[in-house]
Amino acid sequence: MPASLCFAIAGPVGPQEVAASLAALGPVAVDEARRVIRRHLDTFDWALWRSGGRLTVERDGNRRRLLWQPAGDGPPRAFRLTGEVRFAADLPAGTLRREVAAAAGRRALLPVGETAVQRTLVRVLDREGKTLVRVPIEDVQPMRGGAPAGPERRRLLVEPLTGYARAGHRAADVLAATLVLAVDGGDELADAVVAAGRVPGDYSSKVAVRLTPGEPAERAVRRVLARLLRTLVANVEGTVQDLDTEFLHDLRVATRRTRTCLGQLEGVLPAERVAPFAGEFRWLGDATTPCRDLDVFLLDLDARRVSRQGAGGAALDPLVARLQADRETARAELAAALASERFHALVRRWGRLLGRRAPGGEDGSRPIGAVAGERVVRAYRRLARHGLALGPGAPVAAMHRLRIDGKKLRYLLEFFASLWDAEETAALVRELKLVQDALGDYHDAWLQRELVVGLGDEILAAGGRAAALLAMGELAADLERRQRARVETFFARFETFAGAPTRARLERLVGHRGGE
Amino acid sequence: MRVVAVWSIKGGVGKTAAAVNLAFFAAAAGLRTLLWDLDPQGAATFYYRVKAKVKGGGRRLLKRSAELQLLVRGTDIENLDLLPADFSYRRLDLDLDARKQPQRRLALKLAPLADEYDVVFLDCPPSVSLASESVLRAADALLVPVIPTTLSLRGLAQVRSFATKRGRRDLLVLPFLSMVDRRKTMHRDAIGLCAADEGFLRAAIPAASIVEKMGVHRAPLPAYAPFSEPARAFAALWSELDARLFGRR
Repeated sequence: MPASLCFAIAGPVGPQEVAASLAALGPVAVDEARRVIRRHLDTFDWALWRSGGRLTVERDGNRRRLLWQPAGDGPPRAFRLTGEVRFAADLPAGTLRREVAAAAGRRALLPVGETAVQRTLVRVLDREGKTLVRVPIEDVQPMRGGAPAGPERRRLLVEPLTGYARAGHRAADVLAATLVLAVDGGDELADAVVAAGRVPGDYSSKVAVRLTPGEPAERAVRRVLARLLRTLVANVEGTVQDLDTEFLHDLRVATRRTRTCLGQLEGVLPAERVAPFAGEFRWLGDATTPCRDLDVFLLDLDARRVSRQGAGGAALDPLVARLQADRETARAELAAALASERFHALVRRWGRLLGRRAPGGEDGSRPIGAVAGERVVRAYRRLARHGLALGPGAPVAAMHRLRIDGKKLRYLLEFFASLWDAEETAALVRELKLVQDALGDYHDAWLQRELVVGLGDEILAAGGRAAALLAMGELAADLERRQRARVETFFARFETFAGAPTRARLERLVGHRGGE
Repeated sequence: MRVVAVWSIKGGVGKTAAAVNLAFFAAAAGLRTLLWDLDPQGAATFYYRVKAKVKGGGRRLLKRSAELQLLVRGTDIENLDLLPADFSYRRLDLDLDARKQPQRRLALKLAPLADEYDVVFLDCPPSVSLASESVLRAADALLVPVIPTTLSLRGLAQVRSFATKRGRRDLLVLPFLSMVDRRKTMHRDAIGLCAADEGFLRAAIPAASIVEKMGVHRAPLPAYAPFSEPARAFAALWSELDARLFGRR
């Protein structure tokens, strides 16, 4: 892919001036000017923007094209677009789908801004009439609600075709020598997004609050909780509209993190004012559980179908249909909960409490560095103690409690990461995540197997055929195998994580030694 | 990356027209597409207005150190690149014979392009030779244009037998009807025979002078006659091929 160059046009330079300038190189063609509308797509968490890629739907009359600019400085690739694109999986198979999916994962591709572009293409040809270099001249106008918003930007691109880099360099040299141009440092996506009232990268589910060790604990914890509340609120609309499964995931994680913060950092905020919220956040967390569990199951089934290239997939259709129906019910109940006065009051009152400076609890005025270190070591010790007391035959409920212990430790490490060495914190979180992945997968497999077994009679009663039941039996057996395998993985990993060297590293990191 | 060889033992059956137009539709569908013109006549290269010249000729191109990427030329169609023909390809058999592992040579040359392209079309000269064996080894699918005549059908049987004998049972052999003239009784009879052959793709390309005008326009058919019957037939052929190559899209 040859590199393309982009120049900002400052003076009165139009297609005719560009063509006249390029005529020194050989025949030149000037195509008819077109007005196109570009709708810029990204995920809610800006996964494409962060990866350096740009995905745009360009509308020219009735014709629609998808433009994909991968990270780097090559020209965008164009694709004819017929249907709607909502997920990477809707894109044509090939490099486009692969590259977009690598960045976006399972997140929806949402419009984040719009530009109206007046585009004239000037082409440098050889004597056979073949294009060697494309030189589009574009007047790019950011739009909001169909009306111009923000300054228009004029630019000129030099895009040599593959194998004609030398002609591209010559074209760029000629243009730079004869016209008033400057290298363009602008970003069409950023202009469009700003015009739409947002900023690229304005959302991330990461906690990322910069704290200083000497900061009073009450203030630091309020800042962390305020950030979690913003994340929670940011995901409500996407969850209700069911744009993709990750809105609910992020909303649920923000709720859990809030609960962890309240539980693990007791004594920092005034207990009598915070206490009523613990129950409310538990209610909210519970409201998200049925839909999220079904999301995970349906995503797992989809992954299973893909990995088996569809083999045996049709036999599971009755189960999938039933799970989808249950999921829809669960989603509607969740949407009702998120629209309820109870939820709005929770957000309102909680936001008000976090926004006001108030005397903290008994640990509120202590430095956050000391309080955070102490609580992290305490959470680690509890996790180690509970985990080492269990064996491969442990009941599911005990394993689940252990998973929650692990989550509490992970969230604490993430809340206060800015207080400690970034590399070592990330390494410990990674190791903990490996332990948790095994536990999470173990629990998901157990839960899904329970669901499959429980639904057998209903599928049969609803007219399910033997093939469906056999496939469900096979699935249940696979889930049981997965559950067993993950238990073994967990204990192998946990032994290392709960060992003295990891404990010493953790204590060194947070500057606090726990007792024996 | 999927490699499609458009190949027939018989000449003048519409191989180049198929390769040129299917490459156009693949590119328009959003696939990064490469058309490799292996025919020393260089018709596909001519249609896309690229110079039929490969630096160092076929002999140099087959060297292990020669990078195919440096020889690729972008066409006027977005997403479509072309590896031009060279008159020296008439000696491709001899050049291959002078190399180690001649049957694997084309596959080896294509391997570094796997991340660059989604689909590669090989426009092959009509023959059964060492070059054909190398093509057979490199290809995931063999697209065989068949004129509805006895000789063409016999040619198809030879292609199938050739593929089987070379141990490529996994190779998709995809014949399709080409240059069909329904006014001819013989064509109509042969169409009936082909319809019973489940291996045939359903789209049939009609014989039409507008296809021959690719040489006048020096462009693929959909670029100058997008609504013509043969252009629609090539579009239908691409849809079938797409489904066979990539499954669900």
